[in-house]
Amino acid sequence: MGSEEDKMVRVPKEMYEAINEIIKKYPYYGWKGPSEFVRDAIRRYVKEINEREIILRRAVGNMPSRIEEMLRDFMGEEEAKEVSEKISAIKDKDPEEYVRKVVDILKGRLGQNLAELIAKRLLEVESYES
Amino acid sequence: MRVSTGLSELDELMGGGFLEGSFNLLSGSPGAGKTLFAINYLIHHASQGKDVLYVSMEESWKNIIKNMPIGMKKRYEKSKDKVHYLDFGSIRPLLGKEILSIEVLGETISTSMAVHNAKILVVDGIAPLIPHFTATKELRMVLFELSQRIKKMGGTMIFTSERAGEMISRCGVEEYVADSVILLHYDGIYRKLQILKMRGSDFVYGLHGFKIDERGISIFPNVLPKIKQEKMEKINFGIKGIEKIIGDVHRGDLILLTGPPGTGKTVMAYHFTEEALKKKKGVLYVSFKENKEQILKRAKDMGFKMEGCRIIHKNIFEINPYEFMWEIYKNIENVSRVIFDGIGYMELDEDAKRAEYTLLQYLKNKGITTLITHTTPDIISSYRLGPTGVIYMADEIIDLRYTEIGAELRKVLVVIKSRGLNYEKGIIEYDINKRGILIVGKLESLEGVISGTPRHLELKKRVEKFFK
Repeated sequence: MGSEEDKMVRVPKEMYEAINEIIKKYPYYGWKGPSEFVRDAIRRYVKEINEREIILRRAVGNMPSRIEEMLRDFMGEEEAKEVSEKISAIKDKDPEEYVRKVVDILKGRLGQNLAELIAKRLLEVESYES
Repeated sequence: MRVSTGLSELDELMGGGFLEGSFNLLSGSPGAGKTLFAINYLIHHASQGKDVLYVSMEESWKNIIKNMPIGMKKRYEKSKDKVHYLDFGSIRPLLGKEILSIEVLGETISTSMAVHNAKILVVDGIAPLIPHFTATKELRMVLFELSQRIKKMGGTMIFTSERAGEMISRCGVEEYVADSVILLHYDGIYRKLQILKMRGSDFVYGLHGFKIDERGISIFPNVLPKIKQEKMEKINFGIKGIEKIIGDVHRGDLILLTGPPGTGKTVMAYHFTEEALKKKKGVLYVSFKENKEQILKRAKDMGFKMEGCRIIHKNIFEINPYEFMWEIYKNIENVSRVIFDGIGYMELDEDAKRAEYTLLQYLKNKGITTLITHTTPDIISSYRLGPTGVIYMADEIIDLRYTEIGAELRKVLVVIKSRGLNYEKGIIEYDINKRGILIVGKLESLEGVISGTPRHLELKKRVEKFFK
């Protein structure tokens, strides 16, 4: 039974039935009932989101140097430095907004397609390495 | 409007260079010099203050700079702020094959062209694109699309492709998209260049020589500039009494002196040289056997004054025909006589024959009298007069021979051909003494001299009389 501090969360009937089905199908996970299953799922998801955010912020932080390093061979030292300086000047804390601005800067030099491809691959690479 | 290829000689051959806003294919076997050729195009325009763009699919820009000939590198250093590049090979490991799609390539190149206002560009090595297209028609479409994008931006572009066997390009479609096609040949010894196509304009057909050395690239077209034929004037050969024997020699004549070793061909060439120098006329002496010092020393020992004569020494086995032709062309300013001393028997390929004909014809038209000495391999009774092309073009052919008279090996000459017609038909004995050639006189009492073993005519008459 829940305590006074516990809060109720509604789930649709289909989802509730699906949870019960999983609990029955995989008993070795040890969930005693739907409430414990939901608590476990939320705990795992919150952890994952926090980790993802850390990776994303790290990727964003490394972006100016990674881009400069990549563009140095691609288009020359001076131009790479110029692009990297512009990216370093982005103040946004929101990773999504930050990446959008990075793509905008790269787009001016390389076109939309390559700019998006570079930003996407740099984020992917960072998550693989983590 | 034309855009220079970066090589003035090639521009001439193409009617002024590439067409502005054109897509030009440069194809050749590995090591033929495609990249250097393309880089030279960029550096030429960069040194004229234009921004240029190099797009590489394979070789890194750093590597290209490292391997540039010194002369080209110096020119690059002076204008490198105008040279921009996109090295797709460097980002391929991270970004994968997606960067080779036409959307990415086309957009990146056109964006970079716009950023730098670069209208001169090179896309080097399209081979990495090929595996991404299952059918050649797809590649053709992609190249066409790329060419349209670049043309819209006002770009004049060279793109390089590697030759596959006898095909003009790697896939056999590149040439259809291109406005012009230049083929580079390299057999490991000589480099040749051929213009195969030039949309909307005429060009000079055939193979042309080209060379890559420390200074960069040099082109040797298979044609020489057209000139008006000079007036014919009589000239002296320079040997006392020889004009009566060979008839009238005119400016622009080609004289062939042929004979076995030791018959005095080179000494006659010294006379021919000295005669012009005495009259303050320039002479170019091209020797295929002795170097400058040896020629001057030998001439001096015999009392010839050869100072002021321009001398070039060449190894006949290392001659690139068109390069040689242009070397001579560049050395004949203010020259009235040219001597090619020491041509031996050699099989000539088509390029050598063409270069020989073009050069000799040019000298003739320019009014430069040419003397060629040819060494025949047989000491006695040789009927090999010299290279067929030279025999065909020669105005005077003088055959020098040995003949056995009175247990002595004596020298005789016979005029085989003379434009003047008023030449001596008899066989003339001559000798070489300390001061050169001495004409002795006509051998009137002998016959069979040409065979090398003459008989006295008087003896023959007596024998005939006896049997009568």
